[in-house]
Amino acid sequence: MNPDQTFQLLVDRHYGALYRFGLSLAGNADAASDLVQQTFFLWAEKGHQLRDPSKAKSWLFTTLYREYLTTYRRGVKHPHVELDDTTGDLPSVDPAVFANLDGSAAVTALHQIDEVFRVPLTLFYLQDLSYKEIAHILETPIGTVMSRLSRGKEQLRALLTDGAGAASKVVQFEPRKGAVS
Amino acid sequence: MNEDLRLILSARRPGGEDDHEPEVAAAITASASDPALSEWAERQVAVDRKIATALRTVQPPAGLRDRIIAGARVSRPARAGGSGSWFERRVFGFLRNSELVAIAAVIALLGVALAYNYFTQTIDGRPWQTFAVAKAAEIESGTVSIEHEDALFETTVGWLRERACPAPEVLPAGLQGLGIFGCSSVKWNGKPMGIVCFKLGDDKEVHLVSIDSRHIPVPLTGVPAWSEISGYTAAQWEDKGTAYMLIGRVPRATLAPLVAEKTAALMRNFLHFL
Repeated sequence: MNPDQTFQLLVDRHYGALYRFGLSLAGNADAASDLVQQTFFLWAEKGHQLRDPSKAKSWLFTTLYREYLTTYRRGVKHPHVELDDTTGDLPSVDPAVFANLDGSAAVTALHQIDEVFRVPLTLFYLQDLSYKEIAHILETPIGTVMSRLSRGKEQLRALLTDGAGAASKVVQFEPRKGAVS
Repeated sequence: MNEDLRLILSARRPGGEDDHEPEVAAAITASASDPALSEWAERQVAVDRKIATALRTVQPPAGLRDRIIAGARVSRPARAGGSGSWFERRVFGFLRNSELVAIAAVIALLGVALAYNYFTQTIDGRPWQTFAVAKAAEIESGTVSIEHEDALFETTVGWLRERACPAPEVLPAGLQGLGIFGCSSVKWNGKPMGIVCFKLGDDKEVHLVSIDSRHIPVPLTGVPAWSEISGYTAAQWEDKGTAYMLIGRVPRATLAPLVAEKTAALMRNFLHFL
């Protein structure tokens, strides 16, 4: 297989998931497309430096996330998170509630939750990466990723089940002082 | 209920991909003895599966894949080490091993190149985008003077067309608000190329490069494809048989609004899909 064919295979395998990740981060199709294009552009320039081909998927997601931070979210790479005391509550959600959930609603809801939870949660729901790989991409301890997945799910389910009323109940976070939003 | 177990069970993917991980497998085993936790975990997986399935239905815009491939071809560095078919490797391997053939080939190529250069025009081995960026950089640095100083779009375009350079009939809306300060006509491998120069703020410049799209090796689409070339941000697109590239030593976020109307079509396609 020549380099062009290898590259096209890589694109075919991952550009859909990368686009969905970019869409949940940036919130619009133009920006998501730009992020995906830029990611593969960087791969074409630097990807051959990657010694372990099995890391290609992680490299792509990491690069897209960094491009997003660089382009759209300068200064907010490590936002401070204020947690409330409701961590131990067990959500009792009937899966049937989500029977008619479509992609548009899922993306819209994901985009509404706090970014610190949204990023790992989107990667989780794309199902391409394990929680350990997500922790590696975000340069975050595994336990923190687990915690954010759990809390992010609470926010997402509140949005999807109760609509705007529940959205106001979700935990908010304050960017660290001096951070640029 | 054990909070640690709950966190681990919440982090496993609904498709079961992580169930072989030791801590996940242990949590699943432990949850079996806790009916409340077990029921909660089952609901968790069922809900996660529905959300993941819904998310997967979101498809990228039409044409994105092709733009990715085209953009990468522009940027991909030449690689050492051969690819190609077995036949190609054998034939060219033999030729490489023959010093005599190599010397003869070099002499022949030089002869052809000199003759071609003499009878036609200069050969430039660079891609048209790299060539255009180099020309823009020369203009910005003052190494080369701009050929035609002009502040009016109509007369600037007229000057370019007199020199057989393709030029836009109408500027993208984002560029119409910028001041023009002139243009240059250059040739890439003998093909005319126009460069219109704009002021961006007090100290920046952007350049709109145009060339007949039949002369470029990789076709473009109507939606801008983004790249970075030698420190410049570039947006390339095709319109009515002309390939355009807007370049500037500015971040993409600065350049994007200038070609926003070109990307609007993409957004419309996406919204239509939804």
